[in-house]
Amino acid sequence: MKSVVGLGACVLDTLIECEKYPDEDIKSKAGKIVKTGGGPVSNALVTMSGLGIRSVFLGALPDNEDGRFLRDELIRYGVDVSDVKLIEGKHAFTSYILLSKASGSRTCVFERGDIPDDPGIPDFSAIDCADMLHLDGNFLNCALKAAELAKKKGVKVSLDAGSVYDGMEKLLPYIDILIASEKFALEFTGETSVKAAVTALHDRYNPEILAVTQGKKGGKYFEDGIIKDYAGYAVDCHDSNGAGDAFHGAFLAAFLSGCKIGEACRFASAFAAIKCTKIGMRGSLPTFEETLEFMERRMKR
Amino acid sequence: MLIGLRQILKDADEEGYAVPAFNVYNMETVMGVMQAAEELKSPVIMQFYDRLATGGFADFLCPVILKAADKADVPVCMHLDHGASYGAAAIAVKNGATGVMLDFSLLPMGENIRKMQRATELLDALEIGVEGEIGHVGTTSDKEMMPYTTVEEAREFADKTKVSALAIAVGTAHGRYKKAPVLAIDRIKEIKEAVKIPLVLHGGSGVPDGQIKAAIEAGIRKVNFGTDLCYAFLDGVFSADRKKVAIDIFMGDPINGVKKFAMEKIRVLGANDRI
Repeated sequence: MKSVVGLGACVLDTLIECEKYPDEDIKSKAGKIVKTGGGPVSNALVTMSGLGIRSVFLGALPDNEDGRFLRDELIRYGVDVSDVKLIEGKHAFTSYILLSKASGSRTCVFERGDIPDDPGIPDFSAIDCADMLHLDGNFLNCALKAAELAKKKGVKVSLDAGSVYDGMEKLLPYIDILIASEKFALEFTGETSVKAAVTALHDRYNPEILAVTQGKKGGKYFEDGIIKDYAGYAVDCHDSNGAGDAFHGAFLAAFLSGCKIGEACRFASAFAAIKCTKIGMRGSLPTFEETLEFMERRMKR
Repeated sequence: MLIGLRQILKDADEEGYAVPAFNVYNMETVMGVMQAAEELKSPVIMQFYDRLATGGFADFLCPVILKAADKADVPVCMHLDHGASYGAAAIAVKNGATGVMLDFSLLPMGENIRKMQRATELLDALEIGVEGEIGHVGTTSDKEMMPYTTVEEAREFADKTKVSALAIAVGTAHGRYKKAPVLAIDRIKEIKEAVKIPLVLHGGSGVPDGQIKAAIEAGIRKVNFGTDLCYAFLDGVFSADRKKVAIDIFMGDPINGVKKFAMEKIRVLGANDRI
């Protein structure tokens, strides 16, 4: 069984379903309201656990009801949290996410909490026997230590580069699998086209795997010196929150199972599309088989 | 119905019997065990090894156990047996386990306690009972029998870790015995008086019925049967009529073999007619 250790954000998400995005300064009735764990790395770990990858979360959470909720939810989804540190007197990274049924958009308002950037995670030994270390740029100083250790141990390092955080340029030289959002790629490189951004990231960091995600449009990846496209899947979108995290988890699960980059991108794209058809992330993820069936059905169209 | 480790052992503790814990491997072993438990109105623990959890088998096996539990009128606990890591426990929990054994008994006492404390802290939050082991129960091929668990170490381990059940070394071993073991019944009694929590006997296969009954009288509340259930199943496979090609029909004899074996052990443990 392949294993991935993740170090990064674990966020307390409150999903609020609305008929349409509300106007300012009004009272608006919500549909479903769901409290759940989120965050790029922790969602990716939940995804991978569901796809048969042994998943371990390294990180810190507040020692309060929210922190324990987040930790316990990860265990329920099969993520090993034995090296998670609970810190007294802190509060969690928290976000409120409005999901518009009319447009399929998600609007996120967040507060990062006050867990320190290097929370003093006592034990990194889980990395020693992992196949991959997965990061998202949160807890940057801690992530740098973990990445350095992973390189020494010959463990590949993957980065979900969703947003540009201060100091991320220090992390990128350690990265073997770089999957960036379009927003990150353009902002970080200063380029105006995704193709140019892919080339710039490749020339600067030369990761083994490089892809840029473009949401429902699909995305681009670098293979054999060529920039190639993978397709997105049009679905009846109810909740796109966490779709990128699901993409990352599904990509790594497919990659670790032996898929090449193009295959892994297509699988992850289908997986993330299916996720968007339901509210919430963790309780509505498809299986390997469901994803493959979905891809097959779409090919026949 | 599916219930937790704590509850299934609490009932046994109050009424003075032991719950049979059968290691299952596939749909047929689950069916044999369930048929026996239902017929004899016995609570039952179906457990799977660490390698089944971490090797991906649990993804297929656990839904079968859960379905059987859901259909059953008797209480069923789904339990991880000899989990070697927190990761294995997490996989078991993801798959619906209602009990988890983590075995750090080969580690020095202090380290065993520290790791079990972490396990009970994490799993308590999910209301999942944890079984620990103090004093290692070895295998029948070991050159020397491991020393028995002492009362002092059992007390310290139980107090500090807050485990829901405690496996102790009192003369059994995993595997098939070359000669019948002699259990340290007095030691079981002393430990039970000291720790109060349900005690677990590993290596139940091949232990004479009289000794098992005496162990239960002394305080054992869960007895594990792994090896002999395998033999019961495999004897059925090897003796089945090779003309039976349809596998469901072929599997009739192995399922019956498991059922017969499980019924014998349920009666020895006094777990029958408890519902």
